[in-house]
Amino acid sequence: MAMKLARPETLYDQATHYCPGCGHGIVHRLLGEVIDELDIREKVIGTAPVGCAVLLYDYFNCDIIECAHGRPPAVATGIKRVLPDRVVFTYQGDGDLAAIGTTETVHTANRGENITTIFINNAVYGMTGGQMAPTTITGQWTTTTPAGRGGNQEGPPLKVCELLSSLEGVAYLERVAVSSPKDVGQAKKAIRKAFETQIKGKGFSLVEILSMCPTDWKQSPKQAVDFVNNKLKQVFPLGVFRDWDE
Amino acid sequence: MAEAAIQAGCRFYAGYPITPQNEVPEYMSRRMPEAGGVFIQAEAELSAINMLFGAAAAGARCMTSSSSPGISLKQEGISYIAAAELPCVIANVQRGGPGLGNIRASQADYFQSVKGGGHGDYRLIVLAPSTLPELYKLTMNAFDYADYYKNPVLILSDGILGQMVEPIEIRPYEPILDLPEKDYILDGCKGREARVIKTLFLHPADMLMQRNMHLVKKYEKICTELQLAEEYETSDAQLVIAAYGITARIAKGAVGMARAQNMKVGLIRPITLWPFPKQNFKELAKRIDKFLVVEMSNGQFIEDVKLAIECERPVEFLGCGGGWYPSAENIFEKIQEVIGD
Amino acid sequence: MKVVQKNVKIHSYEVVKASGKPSATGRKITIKLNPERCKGCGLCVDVCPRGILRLSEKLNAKGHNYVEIIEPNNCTGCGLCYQMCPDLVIEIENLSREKDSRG
Repeated sequence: MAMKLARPETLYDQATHYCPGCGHGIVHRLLGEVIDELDIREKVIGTAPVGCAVLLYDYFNCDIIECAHGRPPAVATGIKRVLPDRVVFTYQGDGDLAAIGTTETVHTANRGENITTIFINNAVYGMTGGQMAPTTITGQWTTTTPAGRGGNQEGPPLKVCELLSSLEGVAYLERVAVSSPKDVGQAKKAIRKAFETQIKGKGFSLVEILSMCPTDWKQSPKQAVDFVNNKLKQVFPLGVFRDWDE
Repeated sequence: MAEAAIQAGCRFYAGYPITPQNEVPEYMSRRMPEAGGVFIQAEAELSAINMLFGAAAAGARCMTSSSSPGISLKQEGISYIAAAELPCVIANVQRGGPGLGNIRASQADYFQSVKGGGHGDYRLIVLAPSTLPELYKLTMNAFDYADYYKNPVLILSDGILGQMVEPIEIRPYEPILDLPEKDYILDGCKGREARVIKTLFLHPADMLMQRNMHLVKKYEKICTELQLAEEYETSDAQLVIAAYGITARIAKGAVGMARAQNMKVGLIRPITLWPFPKQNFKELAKRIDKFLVVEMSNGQFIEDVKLAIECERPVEFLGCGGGWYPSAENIFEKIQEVIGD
Repeated sequence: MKVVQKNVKIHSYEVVKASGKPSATGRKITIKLNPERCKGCGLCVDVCPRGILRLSEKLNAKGHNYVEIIEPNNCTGCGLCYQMCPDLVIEIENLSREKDSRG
């Protein structure tokens, strides 16, 4: 019997463009592991967002469609309704899912579309250079909140899991992080549970993952990990918000 | 239009209520599930077009419908679908604008339709029916054109066609083109390489240029193959009315009035607004005296008429936006005014 | 865009117990590091419970200080470094142990 920790089959043997210490790399691996373990690579169709992960089709060896900003849930709805026996996932950042795409997110969840959303929450707009995100926390400096969020009527940070937990159509909702090995382990469990939710036809599943963005937080990778653990987790508590299994 | 779509094998419809096309989603909500397809009343027109992006990527014949302000919302999605070379059918039942406007018919979305309301260098095939039987036929054909050319097709209707009632024959669908296999669809990579549908081309630096050149070639092909127009009483005409859609139908009445008084008047009615039937216009410009453009807008279609004939002949104008309708009498008066010289 | 890496030198380590004999459970651990993929983020260094990882003084082709194992024989094959690495730099094969049921 052997334990082998190596690149999942679902991921290409390919260096990524993500920054050192970025959470995307960890989540890509977890997603690849889950797809491998559930043996669904040939049934999976994913959507790429607009954001740092726009190039995720260079890393995942499965069918992918690149969407307009915020629209993955609508596109995924179209695909899943036409091909209900495939496994359809969206992979979105905080701007994609909770700013421009809020309408699509809320209504896709409310309709209980049988898709899975992987939501990367790093409290900032990464790809475009560090502007405020809906999930930027109060007091956080970004390039468009030079006085810290809250100084110019930005309102408090948007809590997606809390918001969506009020919708009956949602089958599974969990917030996790990737800022420690223990968190990474829990994140993987959540991702797996979310895909199982879809495979069992239970409805809409979403995993919100608190993630590091050292570059735009102007921090070292280690400091970024601390920021997630000491600051983001306080504002966005981890846990299960909805579970069809309970 | 909805029934024609279903007959043609459309099995995915996403739309949103907006006057004057609410009959379409309402009909689809009942008929589509009967046909074993998917009906979704989307949260917005913007979401609906993106659902089409997904459905088309998954290989379904898909359709959305809306009216002018809703079509504005769809422009981003349309640009993406055209860029990704996916097929779909979009129906615009035009109403008065700009802004919220009113709910009377108009033809003020001409520029938006043929010049591209969305960003980037793309084209839509634009079909302009002028009667309900033609609307039925063109809707069926639209799905074939979309699949054959891998391009979105826009049916440019209006509030009058949308609300009028007339008898039509429900004909069964017959493909009018030899349709290629859909070898681009995303249905899970079993037994093949993974496919990616994308519209972002960063590397190498000229990759997007190549894509654009590829699209240009495709559009040239469509222009060669698909210019459609109807000419009515033009063989000996001195004055030719140029109009499309419901306006052309009204203009036919005016042509009748003119001919009754021995005036040599004819009508050219483009059926494809893009590709514009330049050939027909060029031929006419060689021998007639002048054109009279009639359109329910402040002057959009007239520009393409002038371009098509390279300003070889004078082009008069009768039209107004904001829900104005011409009557056959209005048009006949204008004919009398301009034909003289 | 796929970048194919050619002639990549993978650093390979066999973990041998100090006494030179296999461990009591017959465990054999192989660790592979791909220094060219490492971005020098240091997340693995921070989580290693034995503290046997460090970032090299040297740079890889991309200009990052890549990860090295200081004392391979102290590695228990726990895999925490693999869990935290965003770039699949580290591969661990831990024979005679059941594949982690977390997975």
